[in-house]
This record gives sequence, C-alpha cells and structure tokens, in this order.
Amino acid sequence: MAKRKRQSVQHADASNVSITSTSGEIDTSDLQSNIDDSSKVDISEELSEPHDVHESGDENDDDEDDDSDSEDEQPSFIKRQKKSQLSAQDVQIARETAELFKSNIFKLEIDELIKELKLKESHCKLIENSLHRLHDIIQQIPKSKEFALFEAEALFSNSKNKVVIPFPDPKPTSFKSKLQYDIPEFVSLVGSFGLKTAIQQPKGMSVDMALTMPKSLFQPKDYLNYRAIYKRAFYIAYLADQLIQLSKKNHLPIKVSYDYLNGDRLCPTILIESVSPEHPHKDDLIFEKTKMSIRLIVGFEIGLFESKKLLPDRNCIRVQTKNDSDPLPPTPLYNASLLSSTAYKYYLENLVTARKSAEAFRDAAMLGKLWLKQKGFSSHFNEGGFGHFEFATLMAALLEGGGENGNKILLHGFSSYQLFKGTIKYLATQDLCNDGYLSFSFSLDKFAAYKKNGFKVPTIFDKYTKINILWKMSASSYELLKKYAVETLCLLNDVVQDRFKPIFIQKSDDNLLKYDSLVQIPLKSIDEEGFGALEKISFLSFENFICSKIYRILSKALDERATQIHISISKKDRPWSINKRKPSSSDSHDALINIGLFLDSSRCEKKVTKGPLHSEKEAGEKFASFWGTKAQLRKYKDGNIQYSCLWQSISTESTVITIIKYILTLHLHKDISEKLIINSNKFIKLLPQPVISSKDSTQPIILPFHFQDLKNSYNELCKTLYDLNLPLVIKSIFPTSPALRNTSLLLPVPFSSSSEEFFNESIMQFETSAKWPDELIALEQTKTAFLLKIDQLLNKETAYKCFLQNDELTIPYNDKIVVLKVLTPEGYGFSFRILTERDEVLYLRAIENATDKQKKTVTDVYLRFNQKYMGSTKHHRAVATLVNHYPFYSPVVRLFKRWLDSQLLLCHFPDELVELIALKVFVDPAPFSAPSSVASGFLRLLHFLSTWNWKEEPLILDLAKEFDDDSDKGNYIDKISDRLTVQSYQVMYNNFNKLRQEDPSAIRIQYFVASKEDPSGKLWTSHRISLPIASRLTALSKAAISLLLKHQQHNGVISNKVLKLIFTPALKDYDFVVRLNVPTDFSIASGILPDNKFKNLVQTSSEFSEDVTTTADPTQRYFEELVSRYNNVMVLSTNKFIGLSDTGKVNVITGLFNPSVVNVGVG
Amino acid sequence: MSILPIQQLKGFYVLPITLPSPTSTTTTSSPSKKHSSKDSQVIHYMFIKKHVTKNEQESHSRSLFLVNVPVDANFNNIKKLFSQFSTGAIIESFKFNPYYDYNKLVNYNDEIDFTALSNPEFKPEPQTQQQQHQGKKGKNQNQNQNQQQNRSHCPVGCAIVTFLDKQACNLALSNVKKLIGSSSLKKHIPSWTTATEDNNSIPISGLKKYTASRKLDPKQLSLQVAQAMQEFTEREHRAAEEVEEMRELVDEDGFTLVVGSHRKTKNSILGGLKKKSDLLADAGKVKKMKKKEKQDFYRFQIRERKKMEMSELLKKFKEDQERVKVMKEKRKFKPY
Repeated sequence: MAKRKRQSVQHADASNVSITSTSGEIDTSDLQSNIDDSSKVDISEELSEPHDVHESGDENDDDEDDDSDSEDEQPSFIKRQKKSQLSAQDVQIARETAELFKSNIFKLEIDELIKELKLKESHCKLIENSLHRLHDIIQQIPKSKEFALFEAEALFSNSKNKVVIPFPDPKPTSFKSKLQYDIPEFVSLVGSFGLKTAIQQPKGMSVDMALTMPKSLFQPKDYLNYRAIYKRAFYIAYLADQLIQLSKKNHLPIKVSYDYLNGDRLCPTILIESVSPEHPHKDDLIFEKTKMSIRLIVGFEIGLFESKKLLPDRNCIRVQTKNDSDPLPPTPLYNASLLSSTAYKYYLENLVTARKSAEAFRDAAMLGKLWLKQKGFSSHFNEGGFGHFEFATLMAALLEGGGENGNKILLHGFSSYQLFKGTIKYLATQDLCNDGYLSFSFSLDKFAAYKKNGFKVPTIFDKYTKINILWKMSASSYELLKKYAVETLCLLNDVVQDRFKPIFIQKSDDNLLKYDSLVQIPLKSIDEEGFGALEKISFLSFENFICSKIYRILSKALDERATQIHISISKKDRPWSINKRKPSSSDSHDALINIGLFLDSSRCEKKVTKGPLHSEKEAGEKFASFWGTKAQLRKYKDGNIQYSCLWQSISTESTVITIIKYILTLHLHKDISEKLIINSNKFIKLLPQPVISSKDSTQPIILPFHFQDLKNSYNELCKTLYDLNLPLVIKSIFPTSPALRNTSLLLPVPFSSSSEEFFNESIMQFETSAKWPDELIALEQTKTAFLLKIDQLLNKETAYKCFLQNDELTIPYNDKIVVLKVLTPEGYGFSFRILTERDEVLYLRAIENATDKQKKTVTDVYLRFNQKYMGSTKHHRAVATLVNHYPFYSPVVRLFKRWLDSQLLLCHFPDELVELIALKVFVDPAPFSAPSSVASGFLRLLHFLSTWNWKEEPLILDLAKEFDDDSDKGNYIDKISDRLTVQSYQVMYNNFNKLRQEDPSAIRIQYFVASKEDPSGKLWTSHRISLPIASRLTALSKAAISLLLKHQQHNGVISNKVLKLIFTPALKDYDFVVRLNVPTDFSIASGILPDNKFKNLVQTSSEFSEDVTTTADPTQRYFEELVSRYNNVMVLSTNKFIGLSDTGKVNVITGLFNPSVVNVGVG
Repeated sequence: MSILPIQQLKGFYVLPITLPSPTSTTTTSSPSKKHSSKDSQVIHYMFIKKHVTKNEQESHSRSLFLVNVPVDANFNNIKKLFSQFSTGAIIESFKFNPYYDYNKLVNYNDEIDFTALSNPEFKPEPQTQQQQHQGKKGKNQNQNQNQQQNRSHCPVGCAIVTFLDKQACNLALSNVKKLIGSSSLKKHIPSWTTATEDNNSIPISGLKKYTASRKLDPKQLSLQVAQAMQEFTEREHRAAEEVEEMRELVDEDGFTLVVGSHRKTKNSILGGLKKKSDLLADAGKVKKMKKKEKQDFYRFQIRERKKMEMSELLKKFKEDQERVKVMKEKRKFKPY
C-alpha cells in the first residue's frame, strides 16, 4: 500500500506543470492550505504581517497538500494523457479503488461529489482577506477600564450604537466582580472552515473565529453562578460596539448582530454579515456574494477552570431551595457549555492533527457533514446536536481506538469511503447511551476506548477536557441518529445496487416525509407550570424542559408501538439585533413542538396496551396512576389477569394518535387535544368508507374485515369448484383480483354489484391433458365448453348463481374468450377464466409462423396474453405475501389508487403497475425507512413519483420476503434467500439500457418496472400508458407534493381544502371534456358510504338484482367504446369509480388530441 | 354562400351529412327548442373518390372509396344515404374497415388470423394443400383471395362502396359533385340514419345501449361452441387423413415415414426437424465439450488469463469513468 502510494505521488510531481497549466485545482488547494496553515499556527501571529500570507506555511506542508490534491485528480488526468496505452498506473488505480472503495463507480462518484462540495476559490480568497482585515480591527481595540455592572450598562446606553449586553437569563441585578475588556489572548479560526472541511451550502455558511479572553479577567470561582458568562456577555457587547465604530474606518462594511452558538442560550456570539454600502469606497471589502458570514465566538482559555468541578454530575448554579438539606440537581448543560467555551482552539488543533495523519480524513469529514445535513442533523440544539464537529471528533477518536480494549476502529491508511463507513458503522452498532460510552483523549496519552455502563445519556467523553462531546444531544435525537446510521450502513453494504444517491444526494430532512406520523403542539399552548428554579438550572430553557418531559411521557405511553420518538422545536432562532438583550419572545410565539414518530408497523395499531399482571401490586398501581381512568383489569385467554388499556377502534384515526391525545391531556394540559396539529388522520379519512362499517374489526385501518369475508367466500367457492364432477379435474385456481390481495380501492361490500371491482377474477387450470385442440381459437371454444358445463352444474346443484360473458377486449384477435361469472350467496362476485398448458405453446407457435410484417403484432398479443393469464397470477402471489409483511401497504396503495383516479389517471394504469410502483416505498424506501402510516406512505410515494426520472432510471424492485422475523420457523428451503442477486439486477438493468437504446425518448414504453417476476420490465407498462400520461403523473405528483410541503411548512396545518384540491382534477388542461350524468346514484350501489350521509340512514341491498350486468356503471362502457374507436387520434381519460364522485352520479371523459393528427387535419 | 369552404381536398370530394342529434331522439321538440336544435345540427364530413387499384384503372372502377365514415356504417344505412341524392345507382356491396382497438394492438396493415398462425395446417386455404385439393376447393379459394384483396385495399377507417356496374358508380359520384356544388346544399344536406333504427337486433344508443345486459345465452353459446367444435373436428380429421397418406407414401429411397399414434398432425412430425437456431445451439454444445481441456497448464495460458483479467478490469474502470462523466453532465452530483 505504502509503496503504491509513493508511486502515484511521484507521478503527480513529474506532471506538475501540466496540471497547473490545465486546471485551476492546484491554486485552490494552495489557498486552502494557506488558510489552514494560518489557522493551525495561530492566526494572530500571522495576520500581523498580512503580506506574508501567500507564502506562509513551511514548504513541506505545501508540497504534501499539493500531492494529496493532485492525487484526487489523477484518474481523469491519466485518461487525458494516455488514453490508449495500458499502463501499470491505470491498472493499479483501478485495482486500488476496487479494493479500498466499494466499487470503482462509487469511488468516482465520491470524487465528483467532493469536487462539487468544495468551496469556490474566489470566495475563499475574499473571505480570507476579510478575515485578515477583521483581525486587524480586533487588534486595534484597546483594553478598557474596569466597570461595575451599572457603569457598564450606562456606558452602552450613552454610546451612540445603543448596544445592549447580551446577558443570558437570569439577568444579573447585582454583580460584585468588575467587567472589563482586554485584547484577546488568541484569535483563531475554528470550525469546518478552519479544518478545511467546509462544504458548499445553499443557505451559506458562517466562518467561525474564536477569541480567547485573557486569563487575567477571571477569578478561580468564576465558573459558578453564571459569573464567567456574565463577564463574557460584557466582553461581547464591548467588542460589538467597538467593531461597529472601527469597521467603517477600516473599509469593512458590515452588519453586526447577536446569535446564539448552536442554540446555546448561555453562549451568545457576534455574527458579522457583509453589506454593500450606498457609496462604496474602492478599498471596501465586501463579501456579501459569497453568502458567508463570520461568527465571532468568545471563549476562555483552556484549563481556566478546574474541569473536575464542571463534570456533568456537578452542580454549578447555586440556588435557594426550600429545604437546604436537599442536594441541588446537577447542571450538565451549564457545565458543558462553559467547558466547551474553553476548548474551541484545543479541538481544532487536534482535528487538524488527525487530518494530517490520515490522508482521507478531510474528504471523509466532508462526506459526513453532507450526510448529516441531508438527514437534517447539525450541532444545533434543535437539530439533533450532532453535526460536523461531533462527527469529525468521533472520527478522530476512532482513529486512536474506540474498541472495547482500546483497539483501533479506523486506520490512518483508510480511504475516505472506509473512514466514513467505519464511523457510520460505529454509530450504528455501538450503543453510546445505555450500554456504554466512548471515552477518549487527544492529549499526551492519546487513547479511545468503549467503556461499559452508560450514563443513560448519549456520551462521548473527553477524559482530558471533561466534556461530553454529545452534550447537546438528547436520548431521542441519539436514537434517531442511530437509526439513520443503521439504515445508511445497510445501504453501504448493499452490493446489488449503487446506493450513492440515497446516501448523499437525496435530502430526507422534511418533517412531513421523514416521520410516520407528525404531531405538533403550539408552544404557547403549554404554560410554564412545573418549570421551577431547579428545572431552570438543569434544563436551561423551557423548550428543553418540555421536550424532555413529552419524550418521557410518550416513550412510556407508546412503548413498543413506536420505534423512535423524536421531539424538537420547529423554530430556529435567528440572529437578533445588538440593541436587545435576547431575541424577542414574539419570535418563539408561533413555535411548534414537533413530535415525530417512527412506528412499528406490526404493533402500532394494536387495540390493547397491556400492563403488569394483577399480582404485581406496585407496578400495577404505577400503571394505573399513569393511565388514569383508562387503566382497567382484564382477563385474557391465557388466564392472566392484567392491567391494560383498551382503545376504541375508529376507522379514521390511528390508535397511536388516540393514545397521544389521551395521555397528553392527562399529563400535559387538559385542553391540549384540541390544539394538537395532526395531519395524518386527514389522509386516512380520504380512504373510501364502506357502507358496512368495520365496527368489530380490531385494526380497521390496516386490516378491515371486509377483505377477510371476501376471502372466506372465495375459498368456499373454490372448494365447491374443486369438487365438481367435470371431464377433467380442476388442478388449480389462482386469484388475480386486487380485492383478494387487499389492494382494491373500494372495500368489498356484499351485493355492491355496481362497483367496478365487484367481480374478482381468477385463473383456472385443469389437469394436464393431451386432448386440448391444437389450434388457438378452437382451444378457446373448448374452454367455453368447460365453462358452460361448470355454469350448468353450479346453477343446478348449488346456491351459486352464474352466467357467462364475452370478453372481446382483453386479447385482440381472440374474440372467442368467454368468462364465467359467479355470484355467491354471501353477496360477492367472482369471475373465472381458463388457462391450459396449450395456450402458451400456441401463441409462441403463432409468433414463429408469423410473417415479418405480422411478427410485432403477434408478439404483442402474446405479451398481452402473458400479462393477463400468467403475469397476473405471479404478481398476485408476490403482492399477497408482501401485503402481510407491510401492514400499511394495503391502505397506502388504496389511497394512491384513489388519488390516481381522482386525477383521471387510474384508467391508464393496470392495477398491477400501480401496486408495483407503490411497493417501491416499502421494499426500497431509501433515503427513508419503510412507512408505517397511511400518510407517510402516500406522501413518500408522491415524493418518489415527483423525483423519478423514468426516462433515465429503471425501477427495479426486490420483492423478496424478509427473513429476519420468522427465522425460527420454517424449514431450510424457506431460508434460501430469494433476494435479488447482482446478476439478476444486471440483467434487468441491461434490459432497461437496451430498451432505451431502441426508444431513447420513451415514446413506446415510459416506465420500466422490473422485478424477479418480470425481468423484462415492460410487462405492465407497455401499450396502455402514453407519454403525455406518464409526464402528467410526474407533473401532478410534483405539484401535489410541493403544495403539501408548502402548507405544512407554513404553519403545520394541512387543511382539508388543500387536500381536496390535491384530489381534484385539472380539467382545463384537456382539449375537451365530456360531462356525463347518470340517473342512478352509484355510491351506495358500489358499497361506498357518501361523505355527507350517516351509516344508519343508508339502505343497503341484501340481494342481487335480476341481471347484474345491467347495473354496472354505463359510463365505463361508453368510455370503453370511445377508447376503442378513437384511441389512435386522442388520449381519453375518465374516472373509473363513478361512485366516488361528489353525488355518485357524475363522471367526465376528457380527451387530448394527438398533435400530429390535428396538425395533419389543419394542413 | 356555400357552407363548404372546400369542395375538393386532395382528390376527394367533401360530402357533408347530418348526423341525428342525440337530443332529437329524446326530447320532444318544443317550439322554442326547434330553432336551437337546428343550430346544433351535427355535420359530419365524408370524403369520397373513385376507388382505384393496380389492377383496375379509374375508368374501369365500379367502386367508390370513402374516408371518415360514421362509425356505425353498414350496408343498409350507406344505401339509404346514397338513395337520398342518387336514386339510380344500385349498390352491390359495402366494405368497411372500422377502427376498433381497445388495446392499441391491432395491426391494420396486415391481416392476422390466429387459427392459421397457431396451426398452419388448419389454414382455410393452406398453400401446401393447394394442389391436392384444387378440384375440391378451387372456387372457394378464389373467393377468399378476392376477399383478402378487398380487405387489404381498404385502410382502417375507410370504406369501399361497390356499385352494380360502372355506370351506377359514375352516376353516384357525379351526383355527389352536383350536390356539393349546388348553392342550396345547406337545405339539402343528406342525413345519416343510425344503424340501430333500421336494424332492430342492436339496441338503441345512449344509456340503454350501455346498460344492456351482457349475459350470454348458454343455449346459443353451446350451439355455437358445438358447431365450432364440429368444424374443428372435421379439419382435424382432414389433417389426420393426410398423416395417414404420408404413412403409406414410399419415397425415392424406399423409406416410409414412421408415424406414432399420438402425433396428431403432419407438422408436429416434420416440425421436429431442426431449425437454424437449434443447430447453432448444438454448435455451442460442441464448443462446451472442447472447453474441458486444462486452461492453466502452460505459463503462457496463465499469463494470458491475467492479462485478460487486467484489461477486463481496466475496461470496466473506463466504462465507469464514462458513466460518471455522463452523470456529471446531468448534474447528478448536486446535493442541493
């Protein structure tokens, strides 16, 4: 490895000239290294001689940086130079990347990404110059005299800038020590810019500069009772005041405001933004366009206070309590904030050392920063408290050790990919909260080791500085981070697909999309009751206090129903004016508490919460006091008498929401349930409600009993059919109907014969026989003869009523197909068609015998047959298994179908295709996790559709069942994984490429949806869908999702009006609209409960009409005819379910003319 | 002013006809509505010219070629239409190739018969049997050929009206010309009668049509199936006879074909003969056999293989680079 590296380094040296002449890369790195060097050496010394900067840093350092940078460049560079030659160098790089990275493509992708993330060279230069000038200004500020508190306040109120000292709460009233400003001991560049790992960010970034207050300003006891913090507040105010005065003189037009450091209320900083003055001077330095700002952080010298006294379990704020003998609670946040303020420079130095020691550290840190950003994590209190700094520190610690025996987790020679993956793996697999913690030190005796017995708070503890690096994290945000790490690790381990995009490129931090369920509480609706003096010192802010309280309540109440509960405050505090002590409270007025829930799909809908056994008195009392009146004793089938809560089953509200409403009312505030903002229920309400309610269903949302009733009736019928006395024995009956796999839009309701989905189709196969005619149409006639026989037998001998119906549309050229329709006494309808072993042979023979001109059509006819008779049964089998595995798949796909139908799209998509597309967010959920609620599933589906570029990306689904849960049962055959292999994935991918080569603009086939059942990817997508329809789906999903996100971000509420809008078609877009009125109401006849009616007032039929074919929706048959006659000149659309229209009586047919036809007509 | 801005379009004569308005059948015409119903009269344009084929010159043709025919056109209502302005011309036949294709799969340029395709033996007039059954089927065949020709010359959405003789055809066409040229055309636009009104077996349009029962009558159906089965058995029988003949046939070398009792048709026997693709597959098998020799015995073999692997690796690397380049162009690396 080492040898190889040297080789490449030499190579780069030799070609140095050509690199600098062709690309600007080297210049950037030069500059960056300069900044880095200056920060490392200590900016104050260097900046005193600004002209030095461009040649500063020692030579060796520079060279090293050059090399490392040009190495990144190498692959493309080599290609430029020796394209055809097969050099040892090439081979070596190719091999190296294959070994060190996951695959070649992954490395190349990471390289490109890093290039993309780097800051612009010109911006760096500009901000660097500004930093120099700012440094000069700071050095000019003279030492002040000592002030008492009142003197200090008077000083500022008399000055013309009206600066106010940013004292934290509680504001000091009397303060014995003197306040004073003195020239800072050090001025150093810290943070990601200082570490050279800064990345481009859309909203700009801030360059952190740390000023260290001289030691002389403090007394040893200043760590107590905010004293040091008050002194710093004065220091900051003085600095701000002086900066305003001096900046103009020094041609640095700036705007100065206060801002908390990562939301830490104890640590105000000065935020400096560039402004363009009205009359710019030629010397003015303006860095507005870089979108960067400078943040001045004022810190203390390291070791200023005895760090032992500031350990997380110590109390450093002494308050009066009623009972003096009670020990005061520890003040971990206060202690950590104080200690962190001493260590900015210390950590930067150590991280720089780590970066120097491991070549790829920088790239890995950038990857980490991007990853966290895409997941919505940062160092900020409200954003998880785990950001770039924490990631880099953890990575640096893992380079020193981290295993249980202090063994190294990461090695210095690792590639950026390996470093990143190693860190993610550590986060994913080690519990740093309950089981143990990571202890490390960067000082003299460097070490890092995983220690057992955690502190119940997420901990990465620095032995030297006594800081818990994760002090801003809560248990809830740690759980979330861990979950993300686990998911990302899975993706990184995926060898089948390239997972670069979901790991780094796709953003997944939107509240509406990332949680299964989001409950929001307006902060102002909770009064500060219970937030006393003691809570104040341990939680610092009411927000922290209430978040942790809600977390405690909910994690107890929801228990195993929720896998993660993430609680955060929606408001991000913004910088505030220097004329105010703290940000105005009106800012926080409309802040919301976000309760983000990740649910366990198999448990979250359970109707019973079980508690301790009756015999356990103490636990029982606890349970009862927690649940209040809901707690009751129940006896179970196994004989146990247990404390439990029984939740009412409502078909429009998730049980979890019911529980949250109840328990927050009980423990937080009595009127809280009306103030909660819950959007997820509204999505459930959009599912069509059946006329026969699901009262006795235990899980009405995910498993309505209607499907089970249908299946029972079906099984009964199949049994009868098997027993019939026929010339050939029925070998198998395969269902292919959506309702039999729980995915039909309408719930099957007995006697709802007007529903489009009333008849559930099956494919029937007889035992093998050599007597089937050896000709297609005659074969069809023979099948009809069998159906006639069955029809006769069933009608005569059983309670079933049946009839036969022609099916001319399904397979063109074969108009002799007849299907058998059966009406069961339970009120359901089934239809059967026959498949024989001759069919496929005959179709294939037809292809063989067809002339060249006929071949394509005949092949298409065969595909159509394959789809209807064979593909559909395979699809049914695959989906029927997955429906059980993903409980929320069924309602999500039903809601999705409803949306498609409301947008007049469902008539273009076969059910199977819709179901496959909907499966995407379940079997391949990245960058999210598999949805466990109707709303999240539906929204992620829309989100996927809005971003799916089907022209360039195939949809390849892995429909394998998961084996983790049921590994204990089943024999070894079940255990053979049927997951996609690299080979089969490649086959499908190549199929896609071939398809696009033939049809690059996707005119023939738009969607490529492949799975193990259909590697060709076009079984369900050919013929019916057209380019305008596919584009329309994308456009509509884009519009819908952006509208929803906009409304959600605005004030959290998605109103019913907005939802209604999303389910309303845009009829203006079509060339013509035919509005249809039918005389009868189809809603109840289809088994749908109209919105405005009550269940008990609705008359449902309990028997079939004379001829059910006459009660079907006539608009569908009209539409069929129009399509058959005109689909060569226009695209026609309609609502498939007339019963879902407002009155149940209206439908529309819309048309879009084929532009080529229209133009010919005009010309 | 004539209501027709264009009388002739690319050699076609434009013939306007009024379609029965959907409201006129349902609402009784009240005086106030009369006016509006006349206004809302639906005019449909048909395009007509002489039917010309390769074999038949224009002057010899006795057919008219119609484009944009109303969807429900049939012999009866075409006859009715022509009788409105051209009484003398007697129509012999009407051939219409309507577009009706729900799945957008039908190939209107070529006739496809799945009976024939799935079992060439059962072709109505198989080429191979042409000589053997000439005497029996000669006439039949000619008709079939004629029909096929007719059909293939009638593109989708178009129709051919054949008149009794040339004169009748010419008369009809000249009447069309006269009609559209006349200034009083507006009053005398020929009207179209929907197929339903003169043919009672098909139900009427509108809601009634689309709510009609779709049940099949089992008795009729079983009759139809029985008939079809019988036809099929006959054909099968014929095919079996052929096989029988083959069994008795002694070829030049003095061999007879072995015919097993299970084989039903000639094709299934002769079809067993190898096709080109089969031969290729066989060649592959032979190659596979060859491959069994040792591949890593000589040093040069190993060296060669390593070289191959290397270049393979490199090739993949280059491909990946290309791919990333393409991705970059598509801005796939912008995280925001």
